[in-house]
Amino acid sequence: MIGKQDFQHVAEYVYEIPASFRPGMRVPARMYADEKILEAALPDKAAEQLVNTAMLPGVTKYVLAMPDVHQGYGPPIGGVIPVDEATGVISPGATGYDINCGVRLLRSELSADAVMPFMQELVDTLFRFVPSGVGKGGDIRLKGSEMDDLLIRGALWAIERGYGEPEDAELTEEGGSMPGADPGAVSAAAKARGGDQVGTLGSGNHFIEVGRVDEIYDEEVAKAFGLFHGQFVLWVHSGSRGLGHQVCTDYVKSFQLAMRKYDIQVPDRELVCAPFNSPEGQAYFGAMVCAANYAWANRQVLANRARQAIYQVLANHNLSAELRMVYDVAHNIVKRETYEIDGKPLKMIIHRKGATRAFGPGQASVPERYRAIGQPVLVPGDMGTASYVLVGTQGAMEQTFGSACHGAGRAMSRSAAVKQIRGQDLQARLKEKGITVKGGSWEGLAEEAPEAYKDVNRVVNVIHNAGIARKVARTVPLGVIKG
Amino acid sequence: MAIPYERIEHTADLAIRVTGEDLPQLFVNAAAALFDMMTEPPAVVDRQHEVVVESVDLEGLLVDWLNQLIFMHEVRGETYTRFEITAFSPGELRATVYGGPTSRKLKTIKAATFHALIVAETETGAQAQIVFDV
Repeated sequence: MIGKQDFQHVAEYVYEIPASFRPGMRVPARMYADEKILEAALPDKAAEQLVNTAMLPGVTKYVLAMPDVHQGYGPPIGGVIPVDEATGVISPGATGYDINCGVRLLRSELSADAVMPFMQELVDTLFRFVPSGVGKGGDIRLKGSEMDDLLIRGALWAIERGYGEPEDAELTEEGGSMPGADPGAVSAAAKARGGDQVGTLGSGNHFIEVGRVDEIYDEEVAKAFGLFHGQFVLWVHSGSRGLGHQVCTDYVKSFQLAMRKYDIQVPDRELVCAPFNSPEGQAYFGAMVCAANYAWANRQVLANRARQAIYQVLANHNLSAELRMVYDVAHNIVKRETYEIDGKPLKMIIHRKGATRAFGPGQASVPERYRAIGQPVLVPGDMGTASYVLVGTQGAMEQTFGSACHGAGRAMSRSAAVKQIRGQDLQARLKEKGITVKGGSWEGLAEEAPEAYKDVNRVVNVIHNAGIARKVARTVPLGVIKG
Repeated sequence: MAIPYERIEHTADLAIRVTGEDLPQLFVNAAAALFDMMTEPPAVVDRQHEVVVESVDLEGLLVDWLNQLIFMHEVRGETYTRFEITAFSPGELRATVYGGPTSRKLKTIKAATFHALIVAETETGAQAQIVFDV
């Protein structure tokens, strides 16, 4: 097992395993952490998995783990795998089954105090309006060319059908509609699995949360993001549902043959890959983009349903507000981005698996409104603690291939959480703290208990102190619905 | 009869160890374990389907078999309780699966993965270790 002694402490918050550590490593493996996070991360297989990713063909400079790192099923969660586009590989397992699992934040002009008196009603109404939970389908059923249209247009598809405003897509990563989609590369099975799931939350760690901004760290940037102290905000966390899962399953299967064709060996079969510039690699990328667009359409519909629920409840109490976008980010995705390597621009494939893009000032792909300051970096925490809004920096561009953490990161296995925590007790405990939670199953709730997660404050402080993304605001949960 | 499987610790996902008296029975038990975790038994068992899975090797066959069942479960809304393997080789499996409309879902499983996958014959039969993404 990899121990602390195997890491070199190369910077205050950077621990590195050199490429010489194990045969097959092409680059070093870097972990962003403080000492406590590093020590807590060592008992599970995350460090081993990180070392494995350093063996992929075409990996460049180093592979990275963010401070929310934990064991996954291929790369570690919290992993960033940067690959030279011309010579390197693309890996479906390194992107994940929930392609474009991501999070969206909306803001209002209301203070959270104004809605606290009817929080239970708000949570109950959200639960009614938003299909959530294990295997729950929705009322949008897609087939044939309509599905293909959604896979190409993403959030724009949903907005054109009345689910929200053009501004929602403008303030989404990739405009909610990533170029490069190839619906022909998405199997009939994947389209069938996603046929009735647009606008559904799913289960596991997906949630919708209403909260209060309880800390502002950077007044100027907060103002640019439209955030203020005491503000009532809405978080939506979900992904590409069964369609994305099936795309990953399909390509992990078909790439087993591609590996033999291109004579590639990997230390973990879940890291199966193919050259990006190959028919197989291009097909997966085209399918991955479709799944990413599906997730953006999904979050667009979900957020709009949540808006409708909130507006209805506010109207019952003679209040009104407009919930407007702050931003929407992906944290399981592959992107084509250019970085300076050895003084020259290099086109790269960046796999982010439980990691969020964190572009700094002056980047063309950041919406015009935020371009001069940097993109919002949204980091949802567990349902009992807090979530953060940060801003991307030049430091991220230089250090981490424009990447930051994605959440608190799990610390306890699901089975251990269910053994130790009763969902009903958890709900009561959170209620005492002023947090109203409604979930689809008690076991599902227990699995997502705050104690099952790392300390998000600690994780975010590493990102902030390492100069990757700067803290802008913190929100605390008031009402949460989970699948 | 109890399905011979147990949960193994994994931080974020779901991992199991499952046994069987031989490889085909192992595959049957793995399928039964999958549904044991995902759903309650169906109220009626009135459906059957023929399933054919082809794969590159034995490990791939187990992953593909379980993922095919996950797909059918989600798209048809069915839960399967009996699995009859009619042909078995490392590259191909044919089976008839019996089940009914899903009554109550317990957990969503996105897929069976290749991570830390073990499929092996042992002195007493066969054993597998599988990590599922949840």
